[in-house]
Amino acid sequence: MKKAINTCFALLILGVIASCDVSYLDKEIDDISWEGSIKIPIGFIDYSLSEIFDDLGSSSLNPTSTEEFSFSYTESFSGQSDDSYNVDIVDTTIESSISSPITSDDLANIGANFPYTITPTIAGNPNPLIGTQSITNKKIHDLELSQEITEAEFNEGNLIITFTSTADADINININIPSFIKKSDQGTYTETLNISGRTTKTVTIKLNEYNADFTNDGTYTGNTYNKVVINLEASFTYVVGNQVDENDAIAYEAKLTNAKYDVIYGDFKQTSFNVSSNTLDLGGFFDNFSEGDISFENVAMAVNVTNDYGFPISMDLSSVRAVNANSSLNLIYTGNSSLSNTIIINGVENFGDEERATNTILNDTNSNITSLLESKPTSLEFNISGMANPIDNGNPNENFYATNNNGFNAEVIIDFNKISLDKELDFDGAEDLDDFNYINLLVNIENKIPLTGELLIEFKNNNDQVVHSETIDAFLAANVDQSGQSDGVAILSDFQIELNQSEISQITSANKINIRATLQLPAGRDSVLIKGSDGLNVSVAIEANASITSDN
Amino acid sequence: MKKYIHLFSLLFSLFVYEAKAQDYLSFYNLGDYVMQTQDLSPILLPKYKVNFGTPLNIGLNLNSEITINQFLVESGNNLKVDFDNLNIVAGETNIVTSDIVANIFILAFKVNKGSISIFANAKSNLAWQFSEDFTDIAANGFGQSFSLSKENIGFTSYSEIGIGYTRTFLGDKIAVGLRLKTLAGIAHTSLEENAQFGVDINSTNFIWTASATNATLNTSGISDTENLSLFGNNGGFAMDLGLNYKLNDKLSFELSINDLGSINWEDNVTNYNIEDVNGGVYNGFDFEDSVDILDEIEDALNNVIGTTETNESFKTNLSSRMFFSTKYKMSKKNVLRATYFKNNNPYIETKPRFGLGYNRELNKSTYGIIASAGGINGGLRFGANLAIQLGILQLYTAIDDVTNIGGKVQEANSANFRFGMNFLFGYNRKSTDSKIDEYKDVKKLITY
Repeated sequence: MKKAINTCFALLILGVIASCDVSYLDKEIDDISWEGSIKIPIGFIDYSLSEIFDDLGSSSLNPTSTEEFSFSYTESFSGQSDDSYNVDIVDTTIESSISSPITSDDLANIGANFPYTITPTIAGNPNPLIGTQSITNKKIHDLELSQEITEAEFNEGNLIITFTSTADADINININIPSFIKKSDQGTYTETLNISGRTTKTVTIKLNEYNADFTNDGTYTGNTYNKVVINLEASFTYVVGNQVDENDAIAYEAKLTNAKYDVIYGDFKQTSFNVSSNTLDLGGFFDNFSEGDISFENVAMAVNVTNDYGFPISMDLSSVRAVNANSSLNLIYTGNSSLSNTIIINGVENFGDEERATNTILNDTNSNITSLLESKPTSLEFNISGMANPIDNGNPNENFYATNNNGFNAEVIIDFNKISLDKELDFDGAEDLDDFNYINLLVNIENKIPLTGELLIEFKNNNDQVVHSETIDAFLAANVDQSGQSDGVAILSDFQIELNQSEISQITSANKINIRATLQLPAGRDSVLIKGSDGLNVSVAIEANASITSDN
Repeated sequence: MKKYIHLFSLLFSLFVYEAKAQDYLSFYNLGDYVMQTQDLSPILLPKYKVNFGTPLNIGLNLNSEITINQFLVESGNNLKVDFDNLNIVAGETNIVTSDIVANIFILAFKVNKGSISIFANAKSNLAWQFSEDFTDIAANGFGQSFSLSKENIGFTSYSEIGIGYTRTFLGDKIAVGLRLKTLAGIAHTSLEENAQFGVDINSTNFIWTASATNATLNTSGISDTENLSLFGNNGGFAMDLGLNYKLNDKLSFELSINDLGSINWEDNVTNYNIEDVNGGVYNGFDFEDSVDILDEIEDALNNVIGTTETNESFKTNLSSRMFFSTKYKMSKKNVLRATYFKNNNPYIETKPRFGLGYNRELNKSTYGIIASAGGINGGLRFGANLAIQLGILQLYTAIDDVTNIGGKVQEANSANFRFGMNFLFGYNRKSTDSKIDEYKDVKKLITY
């Protein structure tokens, strides 16, 4: 027992003397490092649309405002006047005459003079003046039309030919007008007429029964234009007792009156074509973004033209320009390699065909239309000049003009899928992010604005180089009611931005953030009504993992 | 004899696996040999007429369910603070306690049928309970919901000056001890009772829903440490009570209750408060017109989880301790003592501890061993004590767990020792036989 007690006592003494081994605590203690995570809401903002626009540089959309927010603008144009092609065939008179075949020489041969009454015989011989003699006459009349017209399909008017005979003879007249082609049998106009004695006869030709061929030059058709040819063959028959005088003749006067047509054909040459000037007012739209940078995506200007004329027309877009208070920018179109800044509108090929549609799209590949919009114009001015037959290939143009036409009508539609607003912010304190190994920004959005939003966040360094970017489908558009307004029910969206250590490292070198907010209309809509009170509630939370050491 | 051994065995068996507590059981067993045991039992029947305790009387008691190498782990040739490992080893709740006592002086006089003593001590004790939610936050941050409802901490540093009186009655059959102490609070930190703070983090949007109840940390002497004084301006009063009953020459019982008292903290007081909130939602700050993100988050958090600093005085109770022991005198010099100890800490719930010790009691010296169980760390421990007299000089030491001796500090989860030096005058000499016996014992000890 004593031995045990003594042993315990010895142990106690030894323990007190030796104490514990504390060499463990002699070691250096590293800087304290801690790695952990946190999930915490950062904040929120209740943004009304008027506040968003205000931040973007506009105060025109106040909380009580309601205005149309459209990504499509339409303007119509038409041909100003078609007088140049609606050729007026003015009333005209074509005159000609055929003198009696009995001349003074003929009378001298029988020993007579004018006036002379035909006797049965002359010196026992039958009087040589008795009998029939024919004389022809060709009259080529230039209608002097304003265009080189080759054909016309008359629908109204008359050609009234009045023959006046001053000969005491029986005259048969064969009339042929090769310029008038009967619609019924395609034959030229032919008529036979008999006039006995000194009298007058009239022939009326109803033009609506004829087409005109103005190309007959008296020999053949197809040789000229604007010409009317009248061929006459007059057969004078003299009998005993007819009195022959020096001025015996048969004369005619052909009066072309009130000639109207369904269509005329010809070559209208490169005559100018007037298009109405129009201005597309964009002020309301760009007022909302007067101070922010704005850009557009998939901008397209559709020029949709219907042409009911029988000839092609050019539209020179050189004078189309975007105008704002300080400057203007002209449109450049490169889609036509043969004619710069020009759209060629096809003409109707055949009379009676449907009007011809020519649709042309101007976009980033063939024009600077995006630049025009991004210049934030208050208006787009469309001063379009036109020209018929813009392509001169050296051959006559085969044009026609129908009096009953729908003319030239153009519709310009400017639309774009998205509008982007840029805002650059200073980004201070990025180096503080170095402690983080992982960051996950969680963004929840309640949107009552009838627009879909995307975000492009670009982190830029001192040299304006993008060191990191994030593209985010930020929020979905609120549903709209019949009127196009938001139905007021918030649509919930959320997105996350996850940054690993490498990406965080990239961001630490940034000192600016460019935020591009891209707005898009709801699917299937060209426009919506936005209200200043439409709200966007954004809440941001963060999940972060950080490493912190006592020396930093 | 056997029945008493059986009685001790039964008591020991009852507590050895159930009990959980701490304190100076080995030191307690030194009893009347060392006057500083008055700190544990106010009954002091000194063997000397005049007893003077020097400032070289120190006691340390440290218990932790976490060892140093579980928190401060090796990393190459260095050490590093490892919160992750701390979280891994942490239990549902974890307790760290410490108790430091410095006896500034004690002067005790043996009087007829008892003793009178005056004394001054400086004490510092810490009771810290933290949960696995706390270590999870320490290791992983605020990435998931948490509820800190099991946290508690109480740290008190104070000095005490007092007087003690012990009186025997009925021919030494009954002894009653009483100590009255004026306290001077030096520094204090404690959480309000039932403090709770929790945050539910929504997994979808990370929104915080906070709740807080009684989340106040009361401090004194912490916000301004420059003007701390050993005899602080925070007054208090406490008493120790003791009763000893000697059934017969063999068997006696002793009950002591210490540190029944409180301190009014009025000087250098700062209360760090989280305002009561139930279901307060923190969803961040309003970005509009915001300037500095961190400032804005702090403001917004403060709107939901409001924090304030106040300077309201408060009162705290001391951590009272109760000892109950049964002493069996096997022979004139051999004593067996069974002790039950309960610490009524106002900040953490502790389980009692039980010790069974043996002491060889000589006229002027004693030494012994003790087996104890329970306490914060549980398990069976073996301790030892010693008090020897070298002329007027008394040296003593006591330790509750000898397995830590020579062990690695990083693997220890407890440390408990008490040592000191006193000057004792006026021994009441006993018979020549006794002197011879004592001489022999001491000689053997030294020889060994």
